[in-house]
Amino acid sequence: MPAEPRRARIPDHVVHRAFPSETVVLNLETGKYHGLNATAGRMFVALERSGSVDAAATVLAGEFNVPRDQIVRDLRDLCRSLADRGLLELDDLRAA
Amino acid sequence: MTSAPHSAALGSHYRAFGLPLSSSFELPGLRPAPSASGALGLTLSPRTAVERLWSGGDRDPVWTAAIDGRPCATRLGRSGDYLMSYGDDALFLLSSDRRHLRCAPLKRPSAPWQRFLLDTVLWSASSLGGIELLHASAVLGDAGVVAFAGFSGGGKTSLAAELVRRGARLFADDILAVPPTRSELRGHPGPGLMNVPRTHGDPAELGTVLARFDTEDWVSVERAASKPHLLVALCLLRRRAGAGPAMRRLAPNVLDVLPFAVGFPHLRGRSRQRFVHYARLAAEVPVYELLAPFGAGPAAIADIVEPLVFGASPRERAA
Repeated sequence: MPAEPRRARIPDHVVHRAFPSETVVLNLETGKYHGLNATAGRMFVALERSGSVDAAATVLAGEFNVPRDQIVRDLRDLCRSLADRGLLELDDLRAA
Repeated sequence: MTSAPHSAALGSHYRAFGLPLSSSFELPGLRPAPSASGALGLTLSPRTAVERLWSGGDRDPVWTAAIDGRPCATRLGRSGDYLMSYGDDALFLLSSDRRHLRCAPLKRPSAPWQRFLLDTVLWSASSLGGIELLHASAVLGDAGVVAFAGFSGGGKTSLAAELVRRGARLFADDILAVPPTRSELRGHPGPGLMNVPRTHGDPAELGTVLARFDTEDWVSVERAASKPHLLVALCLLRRRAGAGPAMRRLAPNVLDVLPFAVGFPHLRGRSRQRFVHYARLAAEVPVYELLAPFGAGPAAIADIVEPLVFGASPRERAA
């Protein structure tokens, strides 16, 4: 069964800054820069602040006026994508 | 290892690239400054002493370049000191505690190695001491420091020289120091020296010509800033066929500024500081794109940026 990210943490080797046009994220281990659009940047910050996909989804559902289930799916996709790039560390919840 | 020089021997005090300096010999083009604790002490040393004192190493140089037709290199020693060479003309040894710079000129005349010292060696010491540097010329105008970042050959120096002719003060010729700080971002001036291309005007209008090199004059500029000032604008000088000259304000992010950051690639531990620092600069300092065709001279570009420097256009100033 696929692993579902539950908790997310920005590792120490990642530094980021939000700008009006995008959020720029630097992986200090690889030296690579990554750009997140406004929505992904807001999700990234929500994950950093809350530490969990569920808590971030609750906050973002209110902000974006989008069904919470959809936000959870989008957050999980983003988490996996960022984790593949070494920009997030995930604590997976394996579906039973 | 290297020991600190006796303070009584360091009778001349200056500042450059954010570094307080105390020197046993006079440095051309630098304004005297009050003595400061923690200053980098500059002394003249025999080459044999510098070679003996360097802690040595067999790694590749951390930086190489060809300057004035001479191979130049910076080598990191085993104990953290740095040996910088300027062809066969001079050696410079920066101590591991960054408090002492031994200078071993091997050849006369003195102007070539002094120019290398007051440019490359001092900004290297500044960078290695933790100060962030931009590849930019800069002038001090009515509101503060206006910097012109660009790559070599883009016309940074010629533009700064033109603005100095129009009344601004030189702040930096090629490297602008902007130390990390929790308060407002301030530029720290480089030496009051310029390498002025011989194709643009009479260098004597700017100050005293110290030496003449192949295509440029080394000039001690009369109107030069000597103290830190607020950084009020950063212009990214870009050349493009058929464009401008024109200037527009950008909504920048850190990636617009980072290409102009100067630093040593082996200091990977500085990457976080550099990112945070230049992200802050991009967010807090107005950044402009200054677009000009390849053939545009400094006068045409200066006309465009005058409002940033003097608060008024050339026509308004004339009136």
